[in-house]
Amino acid sequence: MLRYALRRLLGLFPVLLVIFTLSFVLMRAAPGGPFDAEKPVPAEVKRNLELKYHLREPWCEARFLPALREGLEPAVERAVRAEQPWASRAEKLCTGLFQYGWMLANYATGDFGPSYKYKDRSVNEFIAAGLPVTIQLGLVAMCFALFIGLTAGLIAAIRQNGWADHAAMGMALLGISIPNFVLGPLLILVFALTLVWLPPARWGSWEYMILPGFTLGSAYAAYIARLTRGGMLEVIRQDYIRTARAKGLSERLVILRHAVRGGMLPVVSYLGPAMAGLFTGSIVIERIFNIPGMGRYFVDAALNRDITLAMAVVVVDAIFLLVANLLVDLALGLLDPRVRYEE
Amino acid sequence: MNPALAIEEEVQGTSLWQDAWRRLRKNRMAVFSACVLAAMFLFVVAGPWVVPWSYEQQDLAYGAQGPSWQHWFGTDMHGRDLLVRTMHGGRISLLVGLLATAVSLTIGVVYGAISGYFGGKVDAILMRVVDVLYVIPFMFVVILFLVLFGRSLLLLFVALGAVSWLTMARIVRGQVMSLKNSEFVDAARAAGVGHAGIIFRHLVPNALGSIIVYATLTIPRVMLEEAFLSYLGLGVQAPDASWGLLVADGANSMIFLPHMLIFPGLLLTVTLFALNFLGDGLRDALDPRMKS
Amino acid sequence: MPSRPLLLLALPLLLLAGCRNEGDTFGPAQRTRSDNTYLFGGGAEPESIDPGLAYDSPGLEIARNLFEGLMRYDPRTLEPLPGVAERWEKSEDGRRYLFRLRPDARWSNGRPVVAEDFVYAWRRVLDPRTAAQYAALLWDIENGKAFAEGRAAAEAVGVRALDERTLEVRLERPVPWFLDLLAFAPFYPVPREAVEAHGIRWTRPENIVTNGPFHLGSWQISYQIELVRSPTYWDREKVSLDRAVAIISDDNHAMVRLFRAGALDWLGADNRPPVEYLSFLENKKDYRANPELGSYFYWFNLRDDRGDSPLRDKRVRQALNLAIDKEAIVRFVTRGGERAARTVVPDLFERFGYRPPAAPGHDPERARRLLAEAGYGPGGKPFPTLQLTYNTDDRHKQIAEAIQQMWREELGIRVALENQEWKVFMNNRNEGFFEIARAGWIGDFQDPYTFLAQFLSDSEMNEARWSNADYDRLVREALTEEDDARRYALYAQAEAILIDELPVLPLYYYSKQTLIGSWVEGWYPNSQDIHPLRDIRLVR
Repeated sequence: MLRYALRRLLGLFPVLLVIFTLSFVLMRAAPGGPFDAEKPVPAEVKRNLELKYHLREPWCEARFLPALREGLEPAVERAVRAEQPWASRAEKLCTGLFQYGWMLANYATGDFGPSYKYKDRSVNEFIAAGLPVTIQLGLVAMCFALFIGLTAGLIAAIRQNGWADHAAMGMALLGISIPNFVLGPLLILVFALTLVWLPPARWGSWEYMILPGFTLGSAYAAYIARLTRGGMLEVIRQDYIRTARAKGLSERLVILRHAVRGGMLPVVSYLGPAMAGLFTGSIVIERIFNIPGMGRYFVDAALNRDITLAMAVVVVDAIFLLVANLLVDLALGLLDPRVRYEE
Repeated sequence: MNPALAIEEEVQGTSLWQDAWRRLRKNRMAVFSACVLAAMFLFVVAGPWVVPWSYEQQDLAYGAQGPSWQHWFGTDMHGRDLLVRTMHGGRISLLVGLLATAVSLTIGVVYGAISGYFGGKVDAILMRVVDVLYVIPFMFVVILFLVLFGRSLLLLFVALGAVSWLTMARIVRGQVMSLKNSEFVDAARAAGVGHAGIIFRHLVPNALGSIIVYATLTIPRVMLEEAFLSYLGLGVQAPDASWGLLVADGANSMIFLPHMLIFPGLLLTVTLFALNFLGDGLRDALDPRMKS
Repeated sequence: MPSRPLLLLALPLLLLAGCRNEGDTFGPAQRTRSDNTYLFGGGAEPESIDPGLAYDSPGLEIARNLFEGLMRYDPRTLEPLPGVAERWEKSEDGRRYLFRLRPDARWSNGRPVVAEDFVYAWRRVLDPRTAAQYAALLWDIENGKAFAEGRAAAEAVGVRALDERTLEVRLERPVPWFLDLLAFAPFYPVPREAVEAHGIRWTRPENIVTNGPFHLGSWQISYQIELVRSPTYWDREKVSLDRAVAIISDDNHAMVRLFRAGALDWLGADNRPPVEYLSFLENKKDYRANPELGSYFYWFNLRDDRGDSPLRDKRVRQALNLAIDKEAIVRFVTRGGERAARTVVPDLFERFGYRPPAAPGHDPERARRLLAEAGYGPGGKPFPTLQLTYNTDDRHKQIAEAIQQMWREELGIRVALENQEWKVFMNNRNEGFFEIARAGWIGDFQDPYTFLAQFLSDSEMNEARWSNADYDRLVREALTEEDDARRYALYAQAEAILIDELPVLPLYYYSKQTLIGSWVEGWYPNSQDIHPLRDIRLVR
């Protein structure tokens, strides 16, 4: 088991490299850079800034497009590039490779680089500020999802085909079918504006976490309810349950000891993709509730062309998902006696 | 009854599909859902011909009115009729759902079938790629894509389809792997059918059950993802509409203009409900393990 | 969970209860919090709060309250009041000013504010290496423009410290509104020691040194900026608030909900109620709609590389202008008290005596005739599809859609709409990659010049690259005219040219809608939406 875990951990790095590379390619391919939309700056100033962001690499320029060596006005530079398209492409590729290497080295040491939009801030500051908040939100949502989902699924399975079952499964389906950007404002309207029980937005102590946590977790509560019900129904039919019953064990013991354990399996294996969904869902929830988390930073970064920040969010998110998936697989191994991790 | 005839009838037997069809018919919710979907389809396709307004026609003086005899669903901020916009939006939402699912289906089936059929090294590599792609937070990449390269309906289909093919590939691979050593496959090989033929004419059709179930359950998911992107302003663009866009606009105006949320929201939810019920019903019908 | 279906039934009832909005205020009738902290909307995350660099409204708002210049704003009329400058003298020809600084004006690190601080700050803004967006405002200072363009040394710029508390300013020509300018951020002093020690990070809470009524308490990125009352400000006795928190959000729906729940005292200058809310807010006591010193218009791209564009014919531009029903747009689309615009300079100046030139209103018939004259009518050349770009925003989208419809119906002209993110949009506009682009201009000071300067041939802001020698001459002549009436007359003549040539299509004059709690005192509606925090008081 331990060896399996270590092997998986090591396997994370190639995956992260792929993700990093993919994001980097997107970033380079995107039109626009950090200095657009601003007052034209003197050529040397611009050049210095570009050197800082590794958008220019003197070695590459010297090798492929020596004409660029002096600080040139953008229009002149465009003309030079238009005259020698192949050399220009080669220079861009070369610069791209250098930038890739530089960023990769930085990422390896945990430095995500400077923000494109907020020139005096590093991306690390954003991540450090936003990540704990998003994690908190995700945990609260997961708690809601598990609590509501497991309970509902349990009851539905026990009272199979009764009205409780239908009601629970109906509600579950409703949870899946209502987008969270509808549920959120609805809940805010009812619980924060009409019945002034909870705050309508922002983040702070526990009252602030309830509405966004519930909204984010509702869709997953629904899935978990369905999975729990299905998993338990499958388990209840198994022979070993019948044996337990035949042995005279009380119904409650049967369910709690045996059925729940088996029924939990599909839920545990669902947790992996669920967490991915939580990160994505937090984009909208953080926007609606004005929560300073990574999801909100990401959307703003994407819309503002703050590519370094957007990239970092993608990579951090991927790290979390990979680790979470690993933990889920390990948990599955513990829970399910049928699963054995071979060398 | 003539005993000989009775025995004949009994021996006739039923095929897998007929069995499934019978089970499906008995599932009242599934049948009802199918009817609802058919009605919805009719509503969005034929509806705009009946309504006197066009979906983009503005009448500024009548903006943001509630339901009335002229405008059954009311109007939006620009005075555009909400009924016809809901219909038009339904067309686009369903189209996105179907097309994106079709994209996802195509990629997933081909990929999974090839992986499952050839097994060994090929399978290991292909599935490794799937594992890697699984962990990528796809929505983020889609958002970046749409922001950086512009929004178009085509990009939307492809992006949404590309997000959901992974599970389809795994399912198909599983099915193909369990079936690839069956007798009918040996028979086909003996008859000289090539790899492609075996995969696409023999193995895949047998996995069709799972494929259909998963596809039916993918459509609502994709529609919700489109709604999510429209909420961020990256999905369908004005003056076009989609249920997602209408619902996103409506959710914000909910306090004062509830009709803008209720009508498209209801239709969207009902359609998603119906699709999910139908998918569940299909799964129960096609998967003999789950007893009702 | 048996109670779930019941909850589902109860929801619609609760919804209906929420929909009926009784009471004459949108937010709470009385303040629900009891602390002496003012919570207001701060808009989007500011790019910089450095007074020399700040150029977006959220950044300027913060800078305005952290620093103080020679002058400060009167909260009611926006007239300049003495700030760091206690008194001043102006020469006969209006080209030389002498300012005496207050002895008790101090920086938050204890040292007094000296004239040298202003010299350092102003040179810094003009310095091309700083790349300050508002440097052009200082070009009227002697040799200011020359230094900015590298043709003169910093020492030659006409601002000097005669002694610690005396500042001399020499101007290239008399500027009638010079004192107003001094209350604006680029003219604030900056602490040299902090700037040089920390570089670009000197505005962090742990590094920053301020001289204004408030100091920077904390700054949570993209969430909130906290200002605390400064213990070293010379007029601190008059400052009532203990703390002020700018809540950073560009989601106006969330901000309005916060206000409704009593979690905001003021919606803020950069957050406004979404358009859907406006007709319902009209008669609420905490809703304000005030005319704002701003103009909304569309640029036409008239650059040289657009040789065959139909827009180069001014009859086409006039036709496009006449075909729009601007009244309908301000009544039904923007709905916030905006006024339809026939000219570029806002109507607010009329109360100062400005008489705008006559300009035509909505006249689709004439528009069609003009189009035909230009050769595009029925039987004439086919009119190509026009491209209209705007930065992503609901309001711009709705206006553009309405106009798209109007041009289609009245003139048969098709328009393709494209929305772009702010940065991309600005870049494209600067570089001339547009056909028709949306623009909004907020005045920086109370004179029509700030609106007319954009259209000078050599102005960087002239996106259309329109050039008219008569216009340039009239505006330049007006600059030197100290008498308001004569100056305005020259402006009106210049505007008449503008209206005829139409390098831009004027749409409406801004109105600012906002929500403010009845418990806020010291907040007065004014055309630039400037409400200094030092004058705000929260009452029970």
